[in-house]
Amino acid sequence: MFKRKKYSTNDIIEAIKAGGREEEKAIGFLIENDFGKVENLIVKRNGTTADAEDIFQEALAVLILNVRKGAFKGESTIHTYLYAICKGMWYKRFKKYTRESGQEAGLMVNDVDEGTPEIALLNEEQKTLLHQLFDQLRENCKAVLLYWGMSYSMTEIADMLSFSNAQVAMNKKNKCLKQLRKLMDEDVKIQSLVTALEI
Amino acid sequence: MAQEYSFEEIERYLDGDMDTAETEHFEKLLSVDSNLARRVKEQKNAHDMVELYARDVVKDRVKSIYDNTKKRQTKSSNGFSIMKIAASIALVASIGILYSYIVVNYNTQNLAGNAFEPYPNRFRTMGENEQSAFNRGLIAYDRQNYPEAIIQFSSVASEDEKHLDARFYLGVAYLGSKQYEKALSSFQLVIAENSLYESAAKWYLSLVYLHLGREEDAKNMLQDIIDRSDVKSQAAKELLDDLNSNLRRLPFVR
Repeated sequence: MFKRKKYSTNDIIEAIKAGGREEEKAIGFLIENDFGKVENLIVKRNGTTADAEDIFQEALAVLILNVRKGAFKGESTIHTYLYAICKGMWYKRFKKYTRESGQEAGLMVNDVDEGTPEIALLNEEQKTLLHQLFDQLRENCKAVLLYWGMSYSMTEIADMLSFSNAQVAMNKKNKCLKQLRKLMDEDVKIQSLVTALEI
Repeated sequence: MAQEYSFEEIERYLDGDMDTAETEHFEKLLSVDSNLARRVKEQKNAHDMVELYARDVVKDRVKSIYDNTKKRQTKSSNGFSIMKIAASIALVASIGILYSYIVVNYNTQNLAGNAFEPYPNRFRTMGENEQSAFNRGLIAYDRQNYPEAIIQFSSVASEDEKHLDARFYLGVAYLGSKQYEKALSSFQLVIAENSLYESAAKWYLSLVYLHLGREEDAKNMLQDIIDRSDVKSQAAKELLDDLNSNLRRLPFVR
């Protein structure tokens, strides 16, 4: 019978860096292999399967970005790392509950520093605000900032967006970031969002 | 007089592009210059917004991989479940199981979801090295990386409003990533322009209507496709039959 390839931590890191189909297969492997454990954790701590799916997908996005920017270097297995992010995010979401009930809150805080922006969670309203902010930029600007946020190098961005070289891409990124800052300064709701997230 | 740092220089600091000596000097100033500290913080806030935005876009892609993985798992377990259902019916005539099968299969969202298949890429002869945004969109589209495809096709469509190839594939990518309102406007525009995608766009638009709860609009659109006797007529007839099935009148099915 056909069996899905079993990936090591290094295989997954390489696949994420390669992107495309390789990345999709590796992420598919993590979903099949690790979701059950996360679901178990969250359901045991007053969550639902839908909460677990949301946290797990958010954590996978963080994992992908951290691998791309080199923040995860494979000191622990990727499974331990992913689980710790999920735990941290779940703790953050239900901080009040865990503080009141005292349920293993200390253990969860030790695994992931809750102050790091990587486990900051946006609610739907905040996500809408964030998208509205970026929708005010031209598509080209949005794409430059997005690729930069995804930790692509300036050379890669120049290649993907047909700029003549990395310096042009860097200038464009700075120009677009200035525009973004201006929009943020003019938008009271975004300023409240920044304060709410304590970033 | 305190040294004035430009936006670009602060960027170099935040991006970690300063060398050790420069960083030390900058941080020394930062600890005594409140104006500089405020500017750095504001610029860092913009970085964090970009990071959160990028994360949300990546999450969309993860969600699509997650849905496909679960769909595959369900499909393989469904084969097993169907046998189980048949055996159960034969053994205990379990109406309950049959009923839940009907609920799952005749639910509007599931009917629309199961009917969705990405439109084939008509531009397969283009090489992967082609540098146009449209081709990069197609490469992402082929990989069902819809968030990336959306970025590329949107960029083409914003440069050239009449680029109907980009508009159409953008619509399919929006539908594939469950952004139904945006898919709706893309397909409406393609249909209004009487492009060669008109027939396919109508088919996808009927699925969008279903996802948006506009069942009557979906039925009218499907009937239109059937009346035109084109390539999607058979699929439209089957979907319309399912939508009109008496089984859907049972409670909780819709």
